[in-house]
Amino acid sequence: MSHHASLTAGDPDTLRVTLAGHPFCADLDGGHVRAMAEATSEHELPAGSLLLQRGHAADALALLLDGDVSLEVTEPGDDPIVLETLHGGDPVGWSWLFPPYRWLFDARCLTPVRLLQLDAAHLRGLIDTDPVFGLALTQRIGLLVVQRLQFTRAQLVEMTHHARA
Amino acid sequence: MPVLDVPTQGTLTSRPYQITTVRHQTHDIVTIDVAPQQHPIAFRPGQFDMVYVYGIGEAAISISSDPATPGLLSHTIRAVGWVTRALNDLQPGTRIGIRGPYGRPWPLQEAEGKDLVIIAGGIGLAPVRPAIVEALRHRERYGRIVLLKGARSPRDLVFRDDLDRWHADRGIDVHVTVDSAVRGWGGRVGVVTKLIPRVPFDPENCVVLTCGPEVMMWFSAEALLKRGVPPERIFVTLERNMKCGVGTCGHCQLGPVFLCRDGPVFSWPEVAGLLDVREL
Amino acid sequence: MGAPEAQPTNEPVVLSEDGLERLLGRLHHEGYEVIGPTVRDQAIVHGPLSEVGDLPRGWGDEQAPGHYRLVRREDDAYFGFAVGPSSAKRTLFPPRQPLWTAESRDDANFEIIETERPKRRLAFFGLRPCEVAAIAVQDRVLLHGIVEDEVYAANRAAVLLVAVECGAPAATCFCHSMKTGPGLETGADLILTELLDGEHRFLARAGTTTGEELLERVEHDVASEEDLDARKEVLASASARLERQLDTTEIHGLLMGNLDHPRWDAIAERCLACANCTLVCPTCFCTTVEDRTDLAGTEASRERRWDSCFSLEFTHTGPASVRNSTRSRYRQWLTHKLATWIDQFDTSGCVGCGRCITWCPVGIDLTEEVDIIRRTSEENVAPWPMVPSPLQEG
Repeated sequence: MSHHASLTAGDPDTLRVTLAGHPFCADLDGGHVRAMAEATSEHELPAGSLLLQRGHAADALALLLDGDVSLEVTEPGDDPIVLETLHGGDPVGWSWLFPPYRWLFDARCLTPVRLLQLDAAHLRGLIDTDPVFGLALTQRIGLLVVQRLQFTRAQLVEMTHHARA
Repeated sequence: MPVLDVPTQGTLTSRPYQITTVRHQTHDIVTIDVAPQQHPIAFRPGQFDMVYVYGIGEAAISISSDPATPGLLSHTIRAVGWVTRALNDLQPGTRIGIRGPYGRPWPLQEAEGKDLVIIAGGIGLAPVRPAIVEALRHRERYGRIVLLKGARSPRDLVFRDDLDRWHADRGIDVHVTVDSAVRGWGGRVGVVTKLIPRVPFDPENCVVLTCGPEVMMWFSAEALLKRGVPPERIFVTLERNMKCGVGTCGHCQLGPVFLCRDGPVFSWPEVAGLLDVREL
Repeated sequence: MGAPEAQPTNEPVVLSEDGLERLLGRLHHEGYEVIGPTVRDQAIVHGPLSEVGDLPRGWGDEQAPGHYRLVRREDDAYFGFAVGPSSAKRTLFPPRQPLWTAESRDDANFEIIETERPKRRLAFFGLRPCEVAAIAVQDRVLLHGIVEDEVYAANRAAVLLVAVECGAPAATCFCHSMKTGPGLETGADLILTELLDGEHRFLARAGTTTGEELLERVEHDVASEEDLDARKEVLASASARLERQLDTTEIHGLLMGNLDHPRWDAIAERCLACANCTLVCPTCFCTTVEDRTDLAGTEASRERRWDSCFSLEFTHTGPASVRNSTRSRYRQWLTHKLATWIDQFDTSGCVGCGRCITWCPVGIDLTEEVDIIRRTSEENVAPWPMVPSPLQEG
């Protein structure tokens, strides 16, 4: 997670309510949300800052509250290519769940961004000890991956069709 | 000059029009404005014309201009085949032939009193543009008006002036996204269907017009249904080879329908099953 | 065409062989361009008839899937055959139709010159009931759609139909399944039945007042009970010879509920996608247009010609075609003819003439294919949504 992040002060109750209200946590068991909130902090990042950096340790799940983030990859000699933009309500990143726990893309803040940061080691520990929570969380991440894959395929279809037409 | 109503006579012969302006929208899309050499003919949003280039041939092209000014007709054309490539190269002052308008228009009346959601991919903004212009002219008739506009890349965005103007217009909520971009773009990147679950509109009280590649419309319909939009309130416009425009050449058949005669605008339940049959 | 004519009295009369000659002469006298069956290139085709001698007298035809031969009959029947490869379509909606020409005045301007379409005064002489039915089907498509087709309308405007009931169905015929023959009650101006028992003669009935007036001007006798019985015998014997059947029960749901039936793949292994079936079909109406210019670019023209859903180019949209496989193209043809035609024109597109079976080079038989699909269909055929045509409903 970026070193530019500034921690916003907030009492644990407010933080838990914010977490419970994020679309990623919709319909999640209250006890599970409480457990997640134990290692959750809220941050504000300025526009232009890097939220995730390729090759760096994937040590947190970010849940965007406000602002726009671009998922980028840089080819030397070219402007960074934007794969997708993510916005308030979106989760960012799933590499924290799978070894080797390393980010594969950059995520850059296009605007000032407010987000919740959930500690990855804590989440992985919860998954290991509580199979019900583990299933609920991995299903959410699974759905996220499926949606992103569908969008990516749709982009591929559109670009291939366009190139042929 | 008097404006004539939809013609049904003389459907084999084009009427002469003079090109007044050629506007290059992208590297392969132009908008050609034409003026009739005879009476202007009324059209409704979503209808199309058969456009003839001297000696080359004819292509079915949606009308992209304001239905309130039928004397100033625009067609937005992407260079794909012989005729559309020729159309892309024409200069102002050139005469072209037009017959039409043909086809079932967008059901704007059905959207009155409801939110109007328009989803356009690529050049798909052209056939819905007359509907947007018409709806904004009668803004009070609708609830929210939302435009979700997707393009392959920023340089493939058509009607940029309109998008800028509509962005500034409080009457319409515009969301633009592109499939791919480099960082300088600054806007959204991702497929247009991704916007559907999160943009504010009332799924239970809306009419949705979608226009773009068939796959995009299919995915859009899926996302709309998931959000709770009744299937009969989702409208798509389809494209197939067309030669006549009046349901007698057979080329645009899709199962029980001829696109030119029964469409090109269809409600989702009318065609959803047909689109799922391969090579129908 | 136009307003329905007053009902004729429909009193059957009898014409002799000379009467047939006089009837034909009467048509010429009234200025009709008469078209009827005649022998050419070892087939019975539609051509101009100047005298009764032009008819295929004494000729019959032997037809089977992928097989057509003329055979000498043992009698002198004028209409002792079923149907040949051509139909009224060839005259009313010709294979090539000039639409207009254009002249370029300078680089930027041109003027379209419409092709004149004189209204022809056509008489079809000796049409089979299935061919009369085919004209009715084409009328629905080309006259009663959202527009009236100018070419077809001009040719069809003053057409007189002289039908001859069928006493010689071929082995490929199945008109009784499509309810178009072998007899005919209405739909033609004159309906003849060739009677070969005893004296060679023709029973004639007027189907319209035009036909009635025509008959009045030709010498004839009142039909006797024997003549009427002889007609019944002709039709009964023809019906008995109609072996081929097409079961049309729920055929729309059957075919549209089986769009992924493996039989389409089996047909595609035989089908050459040669388009013969669409060319000989008396109701197939698909066309394309061809634009041309001279070398200097000073003159351009547009011609419409028959096209076929069997060609790859037919569905070319954007970068490629929609129907790439032969499977999908045969399926399109058959399902259109027998099922979706009903959605579009409220009638089947098939009149049971059997031409597509006879003239298929590999002998594909649609009645057999439908039967196989019916016998091997899933028990519960999914209901197919009927799409209303809002423009047609006004």
